[in-house]
Amino acid sequence: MSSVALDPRGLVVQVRENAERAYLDYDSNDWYRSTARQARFGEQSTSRATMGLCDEQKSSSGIAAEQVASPTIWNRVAHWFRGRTEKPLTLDEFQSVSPNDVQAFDQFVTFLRQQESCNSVEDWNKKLAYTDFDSWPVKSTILILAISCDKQDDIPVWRVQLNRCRKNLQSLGIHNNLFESLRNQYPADSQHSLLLKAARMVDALETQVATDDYLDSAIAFEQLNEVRSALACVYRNARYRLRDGQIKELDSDVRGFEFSEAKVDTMLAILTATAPVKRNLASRSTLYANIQRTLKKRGQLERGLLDGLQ
Amino acid sequence: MPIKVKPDKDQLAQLRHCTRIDASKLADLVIHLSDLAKPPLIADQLLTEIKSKLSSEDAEALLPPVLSMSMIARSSESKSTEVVKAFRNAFESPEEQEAWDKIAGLIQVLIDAPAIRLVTKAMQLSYDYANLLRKANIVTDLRPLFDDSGTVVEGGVVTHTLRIAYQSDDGGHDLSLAIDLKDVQKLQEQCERAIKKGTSIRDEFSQSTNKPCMISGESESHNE
Repeated sequence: MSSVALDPRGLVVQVRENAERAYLDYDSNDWYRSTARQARFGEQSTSRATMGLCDEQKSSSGIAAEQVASPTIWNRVAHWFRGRTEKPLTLDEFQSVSPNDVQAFDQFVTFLRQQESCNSVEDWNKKLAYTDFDSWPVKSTILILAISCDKQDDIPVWRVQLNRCRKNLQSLGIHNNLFESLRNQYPADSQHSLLLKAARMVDALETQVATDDYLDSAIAFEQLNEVRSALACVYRNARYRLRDGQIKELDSDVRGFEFSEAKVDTMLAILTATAPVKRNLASRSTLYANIQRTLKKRGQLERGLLDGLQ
Repeated sequence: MPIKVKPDKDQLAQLRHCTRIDASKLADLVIHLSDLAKPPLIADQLLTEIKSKLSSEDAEALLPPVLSMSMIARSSESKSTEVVKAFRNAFESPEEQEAWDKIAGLIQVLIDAPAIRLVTKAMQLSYDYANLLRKANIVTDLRPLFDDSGTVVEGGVVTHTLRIAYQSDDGGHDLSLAIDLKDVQKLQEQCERAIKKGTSIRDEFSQSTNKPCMISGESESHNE
């Protein structure tokens, strides 16, 4: 391979000659014939555990996140990791972890940290190099970066992957500089917690079912002056709630809405998004009164601002 | 589906050189190339960008393998992760594999960087033909004219042979064509015309679309 700058044609010819596609016979039954009975059993159990986790996460029902975070599932995952001592850890499993349940996620992080052999710098280098992050949701990649952020100085690819996430968020129209904005907004927070926060915010926009704290994410986006993403959070998730018939959950969202921290755009968005089912939402009239009072107190209650939203 | 690559001795040496590049500088380079507003189209320009972050020696060692990997990813329709994994397997010793692991993530992101993809695509499309010209030359001969007895040279004829060596999917081929002076003059004329046409259409496209455009095979110096 001589300098390509001088001979691009030579390089093309060389690649044609040297690179060969190995169409290996990828028979899914091959492993069965070549693996000992005990190992086959373990492999099947592994598949079931993983499939179980993914299936429940993929479910379109609103309780998917709760199921993933349930002790049963976490125990299964933990058991599965313990049983994988001879196999290198792949990151594909992380795709299913929702950042929404912070407690469950932290348990998972703690568990991984206990697995010293899975968390050496060498292992992280391999994981970050050979995992196809392009096929992952951005939130899952951010979660991986959150887990490994304490070793970032020893893993040069870490900041490259962070930059990649930043680019992906830009291309999704979510935020141009989410990580920097969060750092400026919350200077006292650790990078780990900022990344978890970012993952939760992105989760509220990426996930196709309503996330539990989407209104918090909306407020967080709004505080970063990212009004478009804030409004998308509210409207999309409220629509998912309505689509999935989660009126009770929507009422709970309305009840828990931190109106004192929200700005006018998010306030109007939540009132607008819930207007079609206002008769079914017991907490909405209280929220309306609170919003009206807050806006008046802030001097932002312009004439006609809340018309038609009561 | 896994891919296999078989780098030769020189290529392996280049890959080994890459594993010795400071990973932190390499990370700076990857971010720099990912953030380029106008990625270059020509390999020479790309090399200049790489040299802004790495030494000349490192830059020249890095670019060819990265472009090769990017081409392999394109031509085999593989993911960049599969390609860097395939190159890992090309190293025999565990120590070399471990050294590769340290930069593999950076190389993988580099392969996917728009700057690399654009140059690779331009290079591949430039030569994406069934037959590629490898060499063309004109051999000029003098053919003597003998008398009937074959002992006295009475005159001579100068002849030209256009020799073309080309590469196709089934290997190298040669072609020889006898041409006369008019053919040579016509060829010269056509070559000059082709160069003019290439420059004109490139400039017009660039000006009207504000997009970069290259003539297949041109280097940075030709483009200035």
